[in-house]
Amino acid sequence: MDSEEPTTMEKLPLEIVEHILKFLDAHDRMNCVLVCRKFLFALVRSLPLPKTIRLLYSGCPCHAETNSILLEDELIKNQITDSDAHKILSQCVAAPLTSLTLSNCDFQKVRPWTLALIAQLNKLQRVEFDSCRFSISESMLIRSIFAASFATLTTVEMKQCLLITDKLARSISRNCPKLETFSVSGCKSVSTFSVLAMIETALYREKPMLTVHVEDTMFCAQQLADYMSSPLFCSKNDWSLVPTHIVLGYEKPAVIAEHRAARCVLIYV
Amino acid sequence: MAADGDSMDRIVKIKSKDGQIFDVTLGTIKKSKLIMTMLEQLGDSTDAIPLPNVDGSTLKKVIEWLEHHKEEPEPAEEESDPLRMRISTDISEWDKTFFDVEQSVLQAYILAANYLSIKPLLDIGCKTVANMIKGKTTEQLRDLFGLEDDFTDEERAAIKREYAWADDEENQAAA
Repeated sequence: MDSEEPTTMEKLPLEIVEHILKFLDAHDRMNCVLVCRKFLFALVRSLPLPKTIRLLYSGCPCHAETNSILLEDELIKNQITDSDAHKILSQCVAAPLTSLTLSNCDFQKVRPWTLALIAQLNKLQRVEFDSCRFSISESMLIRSIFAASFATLTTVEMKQCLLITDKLARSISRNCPKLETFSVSGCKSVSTFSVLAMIETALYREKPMLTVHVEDTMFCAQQLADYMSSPLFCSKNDWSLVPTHIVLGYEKPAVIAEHRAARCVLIYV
Repeated sequence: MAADGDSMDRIVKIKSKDGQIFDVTLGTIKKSKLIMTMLEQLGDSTDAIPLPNVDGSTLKKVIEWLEHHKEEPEPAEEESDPLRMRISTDISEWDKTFFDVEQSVLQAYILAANYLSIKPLLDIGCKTVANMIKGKTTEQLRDLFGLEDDFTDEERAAIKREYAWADDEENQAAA
């Protein structure tokens, strides 16, 4: 071939190089992207941005899909090992993750500094933990998981977690202006004070409505009414408390706290 | 799209960059999405469709390819994840011979297929290049395509590190 002529790859537009790379396996693709910048760009373009990383912690292959970590440990009740957690979290740090979902995960073997890697995820919008066990304190948990993302959090769910007390609600209520949903159902150590904290801070939040789930906790509607009518509650005349039932296919008991300035907190009990 | 015999026999004139005019039947050219779109817009006009990005010799070969594959149905649109998909790179003997050309010609075919939006032709062209790449080292690939290495050592190490998982995955799949 005449060396003066432009070569195949030089003239091909990126989209075609990208298409060619699709027909190669990972090993050949690697050799290919090391050839020159153009090939690398073509590959990088074709890679889906990690939007959700679904990690099925059961020996199943990992599926990389969108922007969240979804860790489920339902099939086998093994404890998550420190080295696995470390691997997963350190791989995720660079990705702009917005969602972290962990269910039935036992983190008791995971070291505090490994969990603290979560603190590097600072754009989380949704954090859902369901029936997870930790070996760290509640304050540690708040610091390592929520603190970095306070400004972006919209949904916080901490279900069936014995570690959680009213401290979580106090911390979240004061620091998360975008909060829309807060759920601590099944956390036996959570009391009416959690809800009170959410109501007291209602005016600081951007959204006029907040949904709070306190099913199966120590929450008591009467106690909330008492607190809110006590002279210690600063704006008691601005709030009204209405017990109700929300229809969600069935009737679910709830309490609506409404503020004069068009704010409300819907509490599922 | 009307698929009855009559309309498929309709003659369509297409004109290459260097002014050569080719008469093709609609049945032959229907795989080109570009031309089908143009025909829709032109309505009943019988003027030759200008294709300023394709030269005559390439267009002639593309028509030859279309003639040969005329009866084949449109392949189903397969949208798949580029990371997971391991598409077959099998190519029929006829196509292998068709694409057994110099790199610059192969490139012209691919560009024409891309411009004319003939997906099956584009796929086979890309597969042909992919088959040339397979099993070669980075150095061999640079020689093959006459490309210059424009990475620094640090960059190369960073890419290897960052995409190391891709190789791992491969090894696991093979195991």
